[in-house]
Amino acid sequence: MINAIIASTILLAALYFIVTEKIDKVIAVSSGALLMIVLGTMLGFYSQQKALQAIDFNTLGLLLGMMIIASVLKRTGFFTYIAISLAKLSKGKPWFLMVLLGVSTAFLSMLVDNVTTIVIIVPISILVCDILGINVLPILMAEILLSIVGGTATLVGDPPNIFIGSAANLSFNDFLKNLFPVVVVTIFFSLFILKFLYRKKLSDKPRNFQAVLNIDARKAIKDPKGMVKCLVALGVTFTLFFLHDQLHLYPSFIALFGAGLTLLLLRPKPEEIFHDVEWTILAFFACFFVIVGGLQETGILSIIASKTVFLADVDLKFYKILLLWVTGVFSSLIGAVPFTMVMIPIMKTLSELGINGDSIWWILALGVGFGANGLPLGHAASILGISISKKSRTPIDIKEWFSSATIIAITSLIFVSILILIGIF
Amino acid sequence: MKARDVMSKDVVTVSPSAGIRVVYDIFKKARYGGVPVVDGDKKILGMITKAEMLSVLLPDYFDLLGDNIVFIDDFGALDEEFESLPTFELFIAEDIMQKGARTVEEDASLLKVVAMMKKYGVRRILVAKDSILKGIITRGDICGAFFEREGLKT
Repeated sequence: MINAIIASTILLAALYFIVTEKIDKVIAVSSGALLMIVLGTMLGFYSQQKALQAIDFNTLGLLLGMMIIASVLKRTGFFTYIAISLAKLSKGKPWFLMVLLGVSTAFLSMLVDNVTTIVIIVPISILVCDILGINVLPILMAEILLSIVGGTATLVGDPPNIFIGSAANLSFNDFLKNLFPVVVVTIFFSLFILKFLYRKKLSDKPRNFQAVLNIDARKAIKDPKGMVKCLVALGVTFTLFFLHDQLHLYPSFIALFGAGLTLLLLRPKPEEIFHDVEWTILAFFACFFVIVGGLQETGILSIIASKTVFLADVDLKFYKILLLWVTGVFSSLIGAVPFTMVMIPIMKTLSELGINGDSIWWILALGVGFGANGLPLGHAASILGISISKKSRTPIDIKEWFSSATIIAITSLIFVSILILIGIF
Repeated sequence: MKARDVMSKDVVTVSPSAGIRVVYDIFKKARYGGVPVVDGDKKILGMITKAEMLSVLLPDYFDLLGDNIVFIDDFGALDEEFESLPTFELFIAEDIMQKGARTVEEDASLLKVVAMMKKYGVRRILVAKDSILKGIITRGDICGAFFEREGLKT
């Protein structure tokens, strides 16, 4: 019991510093991880060896590979090309522009990391709206929210899915079959909710559409041959993802293979590409794995799982809906990534205790992904999007977030609850 | 040679509440490229150069766009605003200044001054004691000091 209390305290302290940012979060979790190993070894519930085993290198490899591919892709100017082409296609109508940019952000976020998509698409969207002379706020909101919703659709779209896929041994196609349709419907109704909420701002008439028509989008592509090569490498990578279950390939192997192929085809300066890799995030994940691993060794997470499982016997659907909402709320409160990592051992125990099939994993993925939009700090992509918006004329503040993003988060969780009720999950 | 030997002592300064046009007039009339912003006790608060003046004209998010704008020739509605800029005149020195400034003590070696100019990419270094402005050294002052040395004059 004392072990469980000590391990839980370390976890809670780490979470406290992650949320309040009183200490840099990587420093907070690395100190927590070291403390967990030292105290765990002294008390006998953890060891250096167990700590190393707790780190899921499949996840880290997958993230590293995808970061490298995304870094090369963004340097080719592909994202800017897409954004400007869509702006021209929209004829400058704010609602069309919101749909086109929102949907494409969602789809790009299914393929590469949300943060990479946001960091390029958001500034260029602000510029396009300024050139048109329309209000950028609804479009920013759509991009931020839909990148997070979109990322929920695939194994590689968002770190929580990567953790879930690796822990529960779910394949790329499993994610696509179970989550993609739900995400598509959610994107669809989210756009209509945003259309309603921002009906006034979306009624702006573009003051100068001709200027956008005058932009030659092809000039955004810095290296046309390189872009084609990069897209080919991305295509090969995703073809392998589709087949990885049959071919018995680890997703991390495929991502690193794709990264290697991209580097080989394009021959960029490796130091520039590796500079773009977010090592601090990888370090954060590794350290957090060590902390959660220690907690798991004390047995407390299994106890939590087994103490709550009786509710599932009372009413399984109710239990799943409860799981969904708890996941959604905590994901927006403490962040999608740390919450998923704590939940995974609990979910594993639940499956061992006989909660049927994969549906609880999908509920976790959807709860984390859709719930993260509930509060502005729920996801790295929303934190980044908001900070970029502060440099535009329409900064997104807490009030703005509550009056649209939170509504989308709640509606999408209600939608998943209905799917649980009618037996889809 | 020390900083005090080459610095100009009568520095044109502005107060933090000075309007942007006052700063512009100094640039224009006095042919200075940079003006220190000081409070009533001559304490250095910041520095305004032409670069700071220009950056007022650009929207803040432009620095996030990197080279994603070099292929655009027509900025449409943004151009129209840029040309009218009704709010431009409302800026005061405090809004646009670069906070803090590179300073040296009066007895600092000129070599240090040159090294700092090169390292920080600035064209002028302020001379100060305990943050109180004593003088300014420009690139021209240093060139002058070297080429006008006794014995070198032809």
